[in-house]
Amino acid sequence: MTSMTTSALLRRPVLRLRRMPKLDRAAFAMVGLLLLTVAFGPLLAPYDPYHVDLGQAMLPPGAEHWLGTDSSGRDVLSRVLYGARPTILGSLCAVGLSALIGVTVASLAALAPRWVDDAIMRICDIALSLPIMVMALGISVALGPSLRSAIIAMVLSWWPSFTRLARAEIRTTMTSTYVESAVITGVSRWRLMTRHVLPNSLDSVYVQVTLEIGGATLIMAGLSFIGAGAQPPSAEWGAMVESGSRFLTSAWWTAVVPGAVITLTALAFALAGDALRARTSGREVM
Amino acid sequence: MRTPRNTPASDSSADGEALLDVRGLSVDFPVAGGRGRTLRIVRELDLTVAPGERVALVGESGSGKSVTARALLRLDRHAVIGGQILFEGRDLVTLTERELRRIRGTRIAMVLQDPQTTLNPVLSIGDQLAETLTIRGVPRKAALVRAREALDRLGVARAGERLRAYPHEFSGGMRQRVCLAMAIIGDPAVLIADEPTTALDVRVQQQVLELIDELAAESGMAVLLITHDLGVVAGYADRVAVMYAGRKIEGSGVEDFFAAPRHPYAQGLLRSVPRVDRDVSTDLDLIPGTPPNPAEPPSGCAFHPRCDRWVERCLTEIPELRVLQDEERAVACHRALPEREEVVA
Amino acid sequence: MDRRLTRYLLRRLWLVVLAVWGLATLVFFMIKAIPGDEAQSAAGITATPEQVEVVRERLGLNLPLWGQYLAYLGRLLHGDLGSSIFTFRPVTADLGGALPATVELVAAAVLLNLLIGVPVGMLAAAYERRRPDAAIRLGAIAGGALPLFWLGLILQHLFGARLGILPISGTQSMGMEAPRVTGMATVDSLLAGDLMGWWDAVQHLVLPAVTLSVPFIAFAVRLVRTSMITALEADHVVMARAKGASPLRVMLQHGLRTCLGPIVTLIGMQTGWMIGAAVLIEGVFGRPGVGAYLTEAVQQKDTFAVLGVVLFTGVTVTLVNLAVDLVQLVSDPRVRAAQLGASPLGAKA
Repeated sequence: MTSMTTSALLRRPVLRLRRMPKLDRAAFAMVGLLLLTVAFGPLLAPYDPYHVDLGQAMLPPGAEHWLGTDSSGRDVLSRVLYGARPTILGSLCAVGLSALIGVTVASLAALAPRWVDDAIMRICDIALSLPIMVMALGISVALGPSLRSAIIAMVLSWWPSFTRLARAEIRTTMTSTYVESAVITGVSRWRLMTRHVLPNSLDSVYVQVTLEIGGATLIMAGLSFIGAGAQPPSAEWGAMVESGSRFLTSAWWTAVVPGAVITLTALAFALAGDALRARTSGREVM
Repeated sequence: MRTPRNTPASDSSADGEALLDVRGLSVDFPVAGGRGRTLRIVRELDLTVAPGERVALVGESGSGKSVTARALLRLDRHAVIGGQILFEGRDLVTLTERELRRIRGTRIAMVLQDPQTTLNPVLSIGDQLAETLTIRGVPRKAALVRAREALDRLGVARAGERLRAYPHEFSGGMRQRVCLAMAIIGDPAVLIADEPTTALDVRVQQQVLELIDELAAESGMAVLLITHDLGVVAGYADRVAVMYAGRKIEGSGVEDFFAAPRHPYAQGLLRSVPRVDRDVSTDLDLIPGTPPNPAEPPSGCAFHPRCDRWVERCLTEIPELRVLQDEERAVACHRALPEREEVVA
Repeated sequence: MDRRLTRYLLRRLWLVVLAVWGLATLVFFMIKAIPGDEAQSAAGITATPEQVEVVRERLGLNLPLWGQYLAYLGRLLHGDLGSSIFTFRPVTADLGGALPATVELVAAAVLLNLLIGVPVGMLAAAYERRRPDAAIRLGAIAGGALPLFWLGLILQHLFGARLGILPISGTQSMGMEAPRVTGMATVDSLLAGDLMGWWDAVQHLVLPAVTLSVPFIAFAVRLVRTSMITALEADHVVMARAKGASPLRVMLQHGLRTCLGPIVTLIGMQTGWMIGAAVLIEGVFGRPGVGAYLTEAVQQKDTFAVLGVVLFTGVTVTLVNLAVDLVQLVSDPRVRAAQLGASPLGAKA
């Protein structure tokens, strides 16, 4: 168990930027920038991302189109700015929902009799035995390929890892003296869980969420790339890489730019998650 | 247990015959994430061990005694070591890693605190015992025979069978016997025993101490016993060195020490030892406060915040270790206690 | 010992059966979730109403839900995953044809991971908190942040199209194919004694295998580093040094040996994930593997093919996990003690 509760974590100036290594600072700044893009990207976009103009097709990066145009003459910068929403917001939804379900299931398992706990763990094993890509493709034939199917698929294969994590943390917290004394004073099981156990067990879940958002972005983009996620002509980064991949020789920027943006996003969240983990657990992680 | 030998009691008089002679030892550790900043854990430490002698290095946890023990063989990967560690005429601080490896295990051996973690869980006892020899080219079969003999010497029953077992199949006391066997198999001149009894239950502690005592007596091996427990020291060591906040603050012969410690801290330590001749429930007074954080050491004498004898000088001037007149002991204190103090109840 | 071992194996096998049953159930409900007439999609769009009725009868689709479920499980027991509506062949036959290319790719990536990920992670641990460690850490984080499919495209473009050093796609050049025995080009050419063909197949394998292995190596490096550092801080490692063991021996015999457990587990898990990630790579590099088959099937809305692959992959991963557990059991006396109970010697100790 980590030594601090999350509220304490938030009160403590975790994000005290001046004390932070430069790299961590850059990562948090990048995450902030990405979230701003999610919020205001469409306002900043210089062009309509869906406006097709074949006369302007495959223009290299220049003064008018900073990141060039794609094979249909759409402005790549505008599409990247719009694309932050499906890609990042989609990943946030998927990871957030997974964490929510994971923690809920873990809490129920902690309060339920032993055999329920066992059954839940077996179900987790089964769900974890399906690689996320494969699960997502299964879901996409079942529900039809779309951003929504992609999110559902990610949640379906992701919640068990959060359940496992939360279950381990909850179990540790349950054995602590303050929880035992709360049990002795006779609080209800619901109150015990929500007031005493969960607040002291979720630090590592929050850190894990941050860490996983980067990975989720990669998967989200990958699903769109193979056609199981957001559908063209939607300005989703993975879908953009896919449509640009045919023009790597003639218009490299159409595939390279969205891919680079995906990399930067995943990198920023990974570094930020690492920095958070190092701060909450107090030990240095790689 | 055994009568203290007639060895010179003070550090200064051990000169020529010292087997291990540590002079001005310092140990620094890099601070995690501190960009090259270091913390000094051990400072200006002098220590000598004569052949066959038993020296106890005493201190609370955090005093730097275990760091010292490991520094003698340069075992900590991150430690930066300064000063001199003279052993058989060579300075271990300046030896190359390769030269040092020839000394480790065969000239100077170690026993660590927790036998549970000192043994590699995935290797058989036999292989671990034999390792000191096999890495020096002794064939495995011959090494295993020696390993078996070592276990026999430590009174482990069915030694041959035990060689094939794994550490988790042993009890705590048995594991420490294995660790001792591991230490003596190379026939070292010095055994550094870092809190060898702390992790064991009381009943086994005495056995292990007696075993070390016997082994040392049989082979003439010198022992440097690192401990926080003065009770262990009393019946065992020839000389005592007390550490506080990385410094040696008192060094004397064991009888002198127990008769009248001269440093207020040493006296406090001694008072906190439960003794049969005192009523445990009332008289066990522990030293108030906690040892200083090495990152923020107090000014002057590191012990002054916990000392009841401090004067202004203690706040500004670090006391040097000085040999007391007409006595074979050294103390680092401006306000050293008189030679014979009336026993405070 | 033997009775305990048998009991453990039986328990473990029972869990595998349970997992496979769970997977099958999951897939069954996925099929049920698909909108539209299942018999129609099974028979194909061109089927006449009579033909659709025949299929419906044969698949037991006019039974109540639990009856359909039992019929479905029964077909699975006979190894019947249904037929592809696109290739008109049983899904199992298609899978059998696609499997070798994927096995070859995943095996090559695992090999790269072992050859690069493990030593580099150990190197980082040996230089903990010093410059090489910091550089490796950054490299590993960056490697983990690369989208596979994009990396594949760029490597393919650079080494294949621009520099022309390596083939762009496929598993072998035209006319180099050896007689099909295992279906893996590298193995078949060796079996045929055709070294030129083997070299050609290896060249085809390099880019996809490197691409696939990058994120997994990145992850393995970090895991190996962390577990090695923990292992190297252990007292028994200090003890090994105190015995006079050389740094290399300390690293291998006392460091690596004790953290082999997590590493084996990781490699096992990664093998499963790689099958998933192969989906992203095989299409890019034109390798006719399970992943390419799956992608194709998704685009063709080939329901039974997709769900067949889903079930197949899940079962494969479950079996890999079983294999990992058994390896642990053999290699680690601690695991043996925990799973099988204390050994007779310990009982007397």
